[in-house]
Amino acid sequence: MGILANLNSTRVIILGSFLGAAVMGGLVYAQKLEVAELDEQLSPRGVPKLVTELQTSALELANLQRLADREQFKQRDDAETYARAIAGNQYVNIGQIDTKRSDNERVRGAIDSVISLTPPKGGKTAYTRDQISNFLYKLEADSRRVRVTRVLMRKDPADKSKPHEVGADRWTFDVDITIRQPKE
Amino acid sequence: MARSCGIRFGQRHASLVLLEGSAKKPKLRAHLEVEVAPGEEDPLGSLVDALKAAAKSQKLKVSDEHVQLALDSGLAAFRPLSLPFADKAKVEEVLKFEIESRLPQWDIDEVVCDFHVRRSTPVESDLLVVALKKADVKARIDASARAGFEPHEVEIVATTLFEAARHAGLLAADAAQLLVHIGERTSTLVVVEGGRLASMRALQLGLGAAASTAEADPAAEGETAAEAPIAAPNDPERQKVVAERLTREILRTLSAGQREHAIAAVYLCGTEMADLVAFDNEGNASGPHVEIAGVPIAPLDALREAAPELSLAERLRLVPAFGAALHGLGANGLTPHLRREELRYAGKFERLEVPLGVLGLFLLTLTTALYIVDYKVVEAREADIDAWTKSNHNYLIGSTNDGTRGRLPLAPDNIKNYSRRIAEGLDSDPERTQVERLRHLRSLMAIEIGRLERELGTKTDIAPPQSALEAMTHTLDVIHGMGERLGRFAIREVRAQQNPGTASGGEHVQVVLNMTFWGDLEATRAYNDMMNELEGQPWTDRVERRGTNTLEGGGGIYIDGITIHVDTNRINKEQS
Repeated sequence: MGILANLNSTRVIILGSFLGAAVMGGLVYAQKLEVAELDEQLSPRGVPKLVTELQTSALELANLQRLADREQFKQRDDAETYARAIAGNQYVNIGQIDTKRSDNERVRGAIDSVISLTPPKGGKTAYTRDQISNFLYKLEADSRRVRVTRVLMRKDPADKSKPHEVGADRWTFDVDITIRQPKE
Repeated sequence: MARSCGIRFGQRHASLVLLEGSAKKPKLRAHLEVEVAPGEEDPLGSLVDALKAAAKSQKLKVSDEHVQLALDSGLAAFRPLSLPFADKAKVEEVLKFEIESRLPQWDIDEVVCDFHVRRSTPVESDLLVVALKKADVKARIDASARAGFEPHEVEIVATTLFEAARHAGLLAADAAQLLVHIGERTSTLVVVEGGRLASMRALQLGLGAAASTAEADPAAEGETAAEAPIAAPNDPERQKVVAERLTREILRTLSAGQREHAIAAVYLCGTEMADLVAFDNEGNASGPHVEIAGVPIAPLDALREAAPELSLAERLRLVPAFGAALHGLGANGLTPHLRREELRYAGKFERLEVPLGVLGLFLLTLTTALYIVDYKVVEAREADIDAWTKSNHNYLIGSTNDGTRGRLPLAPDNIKNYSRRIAEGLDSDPERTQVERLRHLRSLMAIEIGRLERELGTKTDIAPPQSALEAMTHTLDVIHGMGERLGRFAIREVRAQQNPGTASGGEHVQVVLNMTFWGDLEATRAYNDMMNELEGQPWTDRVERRGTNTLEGGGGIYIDGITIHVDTNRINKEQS
């Protein structure tokens, strides 16, 4: 152990200070990297942009949450229930309707569920324009997934007025709504 | 292979011996001898120049760690000293204090002292102290360094004689020997008894110097030799006087008492002194004093084996340098050590110690300061990011402190809780950095957004079908917007049907109207105006005009199957 035998206070100081300086140099280097990284993070394309994105996402999320809160139709299997609920709405007041459902793949990779909505057979078949308009409006407004893809509004079959005659404001309807979903 | 270079610095003569090998079996690799003429104003300086030039001409390079310097013994004062202990470390501690009173001619602080143990027991030691003025030693060290040979250790010629004689096997254990070196101004006498150092003497008695003595013989303790006048070296009469004086001094030494063994031989080296004794190349003595008081005089031929190619006279002149070189190879009959205190040898590293220490401390201080500064910078930056995080939390969730309402009152608990945790700086997510926490929060929100989009059906690559209701509403809105221009009209039936895209055309909605217009010419014009208006809409693909029918009894027309093809995607583009 010749090195240890030749150690004196000066050499201990040299050894200690250089070792310490090397260690501190490493720490300083690591910290410089950290400072550079933090500076990069604080640059306009760093944390400020990230926070901006977070806040944009928050707005999007809040909007989606509001939509979800309002969404009446959340499940594909509830389409008929959804339509009937709208028909029974106080501003629609159509009451009972008949539904007929068919699924088809008109667009590749997607299934279109088409539900035909008609006045009930053997029941009330004539409604005012307001009732039918509100019914159609709410079918689309209360759900982002529902599209009214076919509408037929014609005079009440009981109304025998001719083209030159103005009949009563009694109408019947035949409506298709479509819910398009990716094919699973 | 180990190397050692011994240098003897005399008054006008310097010799150098470079050995390789071991102390027991050294090989002479090089040797030099230089001499300056008498009368030089600066003989030491001239000697340095001559030695430097000679070394350069022989391309002799020796590292400092291998150089041993032998100084003229005349520079030293020798004092015996008895101490009640033998521990060398203790001796070193008290040496100067003990010897101070015996060196009244010198300030003890200006003297460097070395010692050699003559006899010792566990409770007592008998020492021979060698003292030299630091200035003298330093001047020779500097001179040697100027010549290119900074000495690692310094001794006097007397100790080199002992080592050389020991190497030559001349120190019989059951006899005493007198070793004599004749120099230019100083002659050195070393008495060895039973293989151990007994005494040393330096006589200011050389070829070209008058005699005076300094000795450490207990019987002749006295002052260091005084400076003697220099005689002309080529003066035969003077040389004869010097030889006689030296003979007397040798005789005096031989006859001194207090010895266990009588001196059996006198071994001579150094400059040849024909008036005393002369040796042929085989070592046979001749001259007026082949023996003194019955004790034969023989050459101290220590280099016989190491350098047989040299003449005996050369070998005898090189003995002090050879003895010094032997010390460099590890010979330890004596352990002279005159480079001590402030004269201590400092190698390249030792000389750099202080600057290196200062540099090291400076670097340590600098790096520590940089670390502290950067630490503060990091703290400040982290505080900035923390502020962003808090601000983000206030925006998202709100703050109860200032009553801020957040944008996500309905957010799931995992988003609320995580945002709160990272905003409060709690150490609940130590594996992520601050930025990574924000990114994690963003991913949590993205997951929630994705879930809601899937639930609401808004996130899909598949476009929803066009709305027949939208197409119908816009068509009717155009008709309604025409107001008075259409006169009196009625819509008797409306149909709207979304048609999927085909090879011949894209997806569109077909709106079919059955209408009645009252009036005569106005009715037809109104119908045409309506068709033109519908045709002019940006979202209309085309319209299909139908033939008109006169109302029963006149007074108007009715048309069935007015068809408008609407692309609702264009409506959305127009609105956006």
